[in-house]
Amino acid sequence: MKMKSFRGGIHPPGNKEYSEKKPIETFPLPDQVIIPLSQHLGAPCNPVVVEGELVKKGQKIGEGKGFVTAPIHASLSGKVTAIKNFPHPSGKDLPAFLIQSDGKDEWVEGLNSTENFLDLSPEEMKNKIREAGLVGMGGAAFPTMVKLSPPPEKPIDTIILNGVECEPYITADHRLMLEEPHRIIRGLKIIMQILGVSRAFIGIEANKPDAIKMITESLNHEPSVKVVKLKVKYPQGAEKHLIKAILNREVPSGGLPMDVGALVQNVGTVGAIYDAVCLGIPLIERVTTVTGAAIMEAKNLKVRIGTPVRELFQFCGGLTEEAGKVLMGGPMMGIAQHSLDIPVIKGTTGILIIPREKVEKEGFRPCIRCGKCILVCPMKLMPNTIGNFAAKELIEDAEKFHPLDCIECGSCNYVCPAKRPLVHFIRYVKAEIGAKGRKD
Amino acid sequence: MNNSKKLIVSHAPHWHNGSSISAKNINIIFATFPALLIGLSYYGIPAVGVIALSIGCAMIAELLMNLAMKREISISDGSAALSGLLLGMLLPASAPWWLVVIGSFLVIVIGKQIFGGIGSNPLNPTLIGYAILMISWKGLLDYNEALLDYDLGFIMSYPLATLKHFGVSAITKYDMINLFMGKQSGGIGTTCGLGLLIGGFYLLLRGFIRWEISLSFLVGVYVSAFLFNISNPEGYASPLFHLLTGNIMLGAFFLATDDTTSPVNFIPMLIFGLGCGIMTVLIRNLGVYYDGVVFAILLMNITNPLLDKIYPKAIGKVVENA
Repeated sequence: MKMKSFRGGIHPPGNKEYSEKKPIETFPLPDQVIIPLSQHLGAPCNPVVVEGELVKKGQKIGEGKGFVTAPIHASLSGKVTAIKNFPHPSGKDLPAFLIQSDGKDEWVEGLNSTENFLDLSPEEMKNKIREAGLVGMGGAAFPTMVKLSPPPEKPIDTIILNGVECEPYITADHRLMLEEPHRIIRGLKIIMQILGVSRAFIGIEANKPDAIKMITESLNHEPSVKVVKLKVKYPQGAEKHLIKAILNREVPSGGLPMDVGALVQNVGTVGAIYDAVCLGIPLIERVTTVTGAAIMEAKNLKVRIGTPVRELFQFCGGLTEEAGKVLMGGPMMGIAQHSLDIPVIKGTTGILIIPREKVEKEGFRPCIRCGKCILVCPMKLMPNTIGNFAAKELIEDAEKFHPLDCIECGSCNYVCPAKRPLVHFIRYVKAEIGAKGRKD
Repeated sequence: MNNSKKLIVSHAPHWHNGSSISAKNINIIFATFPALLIGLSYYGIPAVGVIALSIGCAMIAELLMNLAMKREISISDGSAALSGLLLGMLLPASAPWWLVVIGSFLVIVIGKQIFGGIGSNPLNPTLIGYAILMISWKGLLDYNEALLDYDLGFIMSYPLATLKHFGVSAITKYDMINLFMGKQSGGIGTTCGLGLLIGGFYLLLRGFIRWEISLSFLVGVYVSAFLFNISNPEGYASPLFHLLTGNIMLGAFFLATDDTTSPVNFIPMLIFGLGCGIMTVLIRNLGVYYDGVVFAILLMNITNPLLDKIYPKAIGKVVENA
């Protein structure tokens, strides 16, 4: 049978062997954590505790205004020693809590578990998910509660769990599917219950046969959920492409999966949904992969939100070579960091260290119109043309080639023989269009 | 931790598949070897001289232009060497040294550098150089006149000239297998269809050229020659004869497929290739020139910006969800 997939895409080396066989280890309690007020798409949180206040693990310390936001919680018990700007994984300095651990790691009171979620109404469950501060844990960090609240005119008929993990090196979701399949499946049932959906798929790339087997076995012939084996191709895990591959539906330009009746959730997120709804635990820790050739021992770690990256490196045996780039995320879409003091946040799927010698320093050449970028673009865009216009600052001309539809997967960049920074160009165009829109 | 060296920050993606313009050009140069070596074995030292001179002069021209325009030195990307090599392959082995030098400079200076170098030239540089030579020194590029002194043990009259002057009945003396194996007169590297096919397939498999262009070029030639042929078998040669003679094989795999001067989208590539093929046959059968490949490709190069207007709709722009 032909495996399902989409048009375009690339086949970078997976490099998952560093960490795919390493069971998830729990990172010991850190001495201090830095918890940024903005860890999600949408409105940043405002502090609800003050400097010097004692907080407990799981206590809500920040709350945002509006609908598209997610509260944040203390990931250990201790004292809030500062609320000020710290380096943030996005590259900016953004306000964050600095919490010193008291070493006791005490839970806040009032977290109640409900093993049988069927007793709860959808609204109650959604409220628990909101209060737990859940966001998409595949990297984009979109508040989960918002995703679970589609307007009535856009009914959802299918839920897709994203276990693709197409980003090279990263294995956090893979390990999670192997080690905690029941959490994932229960989480899935919760969202099926919330949305009243009776059909779900779990998409997993063919390079993770053990995860496919584990999830299939754990499902135990559940008729409403099907595991779909997907072709190994980047960016198979992009939301729109997953929907295209599994349901053969095309999400309209500028639209959302709900426009085609689908909802995509990362497997890590549904695991956290289970914790939130059944155990009452807010999102205070996540599984992240620390990997790369320069780290002594690559590991999959369950770490508290806010743990500084530097401590993760020490836990993994330190660096064998001098680090050139430290990425939050994988090599294709990860964000290069300028500091090792940045914390792990809700959307940190992994941390990749690229040795200094391996960092490409060459400049780029003119576009030779080879068309490789067009061939691989999963959105059928013309990155070469957008890039050429962007380089000449002809934003209006670039706009005709739909730069706003770019999902920034980096495939075009990856194959460009002239090594043109096409994603950078397209993001520049997007930013200029955004700026223009605000001016008008 | 010692932070004396700072971390490097750049935009995602942080990975590359390792392809480069120079690797691509070196591979295309490598792919010319089967046909080129056969040509060199026929014509010997003079042909080696022409090829060496054309490559060398093209690179020197590129270097001089880089210096004159105060731009980055770009001879190491292999693009100038490739353009020079292709010019050498089109020339007869007897081409005098000054012709090769002038041709190479035309290729680089007029064909490429005055437009801003690699990626900016609207027309295939090799063909620009060759076309100027062809118009300026007609006799020196007429393969019948030029190769008068050679006797290589096969029919030395240029097949397309024979066709033009003596009609279809005269070309029955050419054996198709011999033509395919390169036993015909012509440019140094253009005669051996088999060698060019091997090189072309190598490039197609490695993804350096696009099958859309090569295939539609050959289909264009075949179909239009076939239509001429069935309408008047006495007046027009068979499509196979057309495919195996002149510069068509070189054109389909090495000239029309030039990145910068060919379209980048699927449908435009097909139109481009078909156009090249049809124009070639039109020039051969109705025009004054023996071979039409050079002008056909140059003409289609001009249509390129127009063809660029045809591009696919982005995913999600057409909503069809039934």
